[in-house]
Order: sequence, then C-alpha cells, then structure tokens
Amino acid sequence: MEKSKRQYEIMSDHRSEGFWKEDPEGSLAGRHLVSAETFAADDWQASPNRKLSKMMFTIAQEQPERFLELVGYLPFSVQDIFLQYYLLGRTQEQIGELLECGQTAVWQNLRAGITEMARVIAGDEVERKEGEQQKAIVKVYSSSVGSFVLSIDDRSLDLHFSPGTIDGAVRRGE
Amino acid sequence: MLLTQGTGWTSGSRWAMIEVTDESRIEEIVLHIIRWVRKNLEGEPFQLLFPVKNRQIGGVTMDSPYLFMRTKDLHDLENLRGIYGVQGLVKDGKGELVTLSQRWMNKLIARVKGNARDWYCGIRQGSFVRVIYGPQRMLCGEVIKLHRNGMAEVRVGLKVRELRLKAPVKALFNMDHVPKGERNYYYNGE
Repeated sequence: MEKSKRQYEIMSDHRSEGFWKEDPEGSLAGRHLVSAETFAADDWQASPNRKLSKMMFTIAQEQPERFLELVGYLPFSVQDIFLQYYLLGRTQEQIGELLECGQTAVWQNLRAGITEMARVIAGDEVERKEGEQQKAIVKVYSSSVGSFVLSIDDRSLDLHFSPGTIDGAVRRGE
Repeated sequence: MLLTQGTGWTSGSRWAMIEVTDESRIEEIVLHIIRWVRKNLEGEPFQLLFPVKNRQIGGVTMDSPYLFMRTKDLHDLENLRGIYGVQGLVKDGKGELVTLSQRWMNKLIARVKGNARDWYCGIRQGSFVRVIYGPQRMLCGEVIKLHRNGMAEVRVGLKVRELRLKAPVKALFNMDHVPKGERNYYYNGE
C-alpha cells in the first residue's frame, strides 16, 4: 500500500507540474483535477514545500507585476520576506537575521503567505494592505568587507561568501 | 579577490591553474579550497586568486574560467582534485602542470582589482546602491553619507523597518543607472 501511495504522489506531482506550466494561477486555485492513474510515473520527486516554492518562483519570474500584486495582500512583515526571498535570492537565514525572527519563522511565513496568495487567486475576499507601516530604525555596522586582499584567517572571510537560495534571485527581464 | 596565507615568496615562484566543475557554485568551491588549505597546508605560504569580473543579482561572473593558486611546491596541490567542485589542475598534453609566471599574474591581478573598483566607482551621497557583501547582501538603498575613511552610510527602506547600514564603499555596487521611479530595496535588475 505504501508503495502505491508513493507512486500516486509521484504521478500527481508530475501532472501538477504540467498544469502549472500551462496555467500557474489556475493550479494554485485548484481548478485542475488530477487523475493520477492516467499518467505514467516519472522519477521527479520533490517535497510539497519545494514544489510550492518553485511554483511561486515561476510566478515571480514570468509574471512579475502579478507577483507584486499578490504580495501586496500579505502583512507587511511577510511582504518583506517574499520580496527578499524571491526577488533578491536571500536565504531564509539571512532574512531571519535581518528581521530578527529566525529561519523557522521565515519558512512558516513563506508557507502561510503562499496559502494566502492562493486564496486571492481563487477569488476569496482578502484585504489588500495599503499605506505604510511605522518603521523601526535599525543600525548595522559592517566594517571589514570588500577588501581585495584577504588573509584566509580573516574573521570577515565568510562574509564575502554569503550563499543564495537554491533557485537564486528572479532577475528582471529574464 | 586575493586570498593569502603566510609570506616568503621568491621572485621565480609560479602559479597553477585550477579548473572547476560548475561556475555557478564557485563561491562554495572557493570556501572548500580554503578549508582544505587550512587543514593540509597549515603555516605554509599560499595564495589563491579568485578572479571575479562582476558581482550582481545574478551571482558571481568570473573574469577567467580558472582559479589561480601558488604554494612553495605546486605538486602539493594535486590533492585538490578530491575537493567538491574541483575538476583538477590544468596540465598540458604530456601531463605536466601548466604554470604561469608572477609577471603574467601581476597583470591579471591588476585587471581583477580594477573590476572591483568599477563596481563602486562614482558612488556619492544620494547614490542608489546594492550591498554586495555581508549579511545585508543584495539589498538596495540610498547612500545618505560618505565618510573620508572610505565608509558609507546606506539607508535601506524595508516595509517594516529602516536599516541604517555603515559599510565600506568597496562593499557596494553603484546602481545610479536605475531610474528613480524603480528604486526600491528589492530592485532585481542589473
């Protein structure tokens, strides 16, 4: 039974990916029914989180104005997470450190935010966030990055090699 | 970027070329090499040229497809091949290491250093910039103050907070070519 369920998930994922490429918004809104038995299994495997993230990356890349419009329905703090993660390719750790909330909270907000966007696409009544929020001012000091010659024992060495997300940043115009 | 350990180079010392498997992961590869050096060449003179042409939203663009390294004995570098992302040292048809003179390398190093200067050239108060190093990497903001010691104060306006970053000008990328109406902290063009 366990083997059959896994096969079903694989076929379902494969079909979902196909629908996604044809109609990203419709897929998120759940307009397509998937009949797993119709299609052959393939070896594409991804966790549900990774799949959702790839879907959102595709929207940001292929429909940037729509992506920004959808982001506008999220709470301001979550908007900052989405904009950094998808448009700038900053990692969850980097975002969490900047917003002082931790990587786990960033991940949870990404998932919750995608769910909220799916509701907007499906036509649910969701309030768009307007105006600006009062902002705290945070001062940060970064003294030694940017030197051309660096000792491999330099404490700032790691700061010169910050990683990005798996998919990288969505680049404008691509 | 020129990474170093120790001193004591002779005028005749030569450099080896390292071929990598995937330029898109070059920063990870360089970090792995550094860890290997710390473990296997502890206390010995070593230099690694990481020839970066550009650092932008799309990642690092290399000025050359190779990394360049020198140690007291270049044959010590044969074991680099086992490192993640390293294809191996460049050799000729006879299997001999291809090496480069210090004179040739000085020209390359000068060029790579010039590339880095191009990124922050022209930055002034009011400039739109992108942070390219450190935990605030890729964020964009406005330079609100330039200090004579080479430090800049940058304002980054997120939705929920305003960041006031003090960083070397060398850690910034001049983005003054971006139209004023498109300048925001999440600008993702080059």
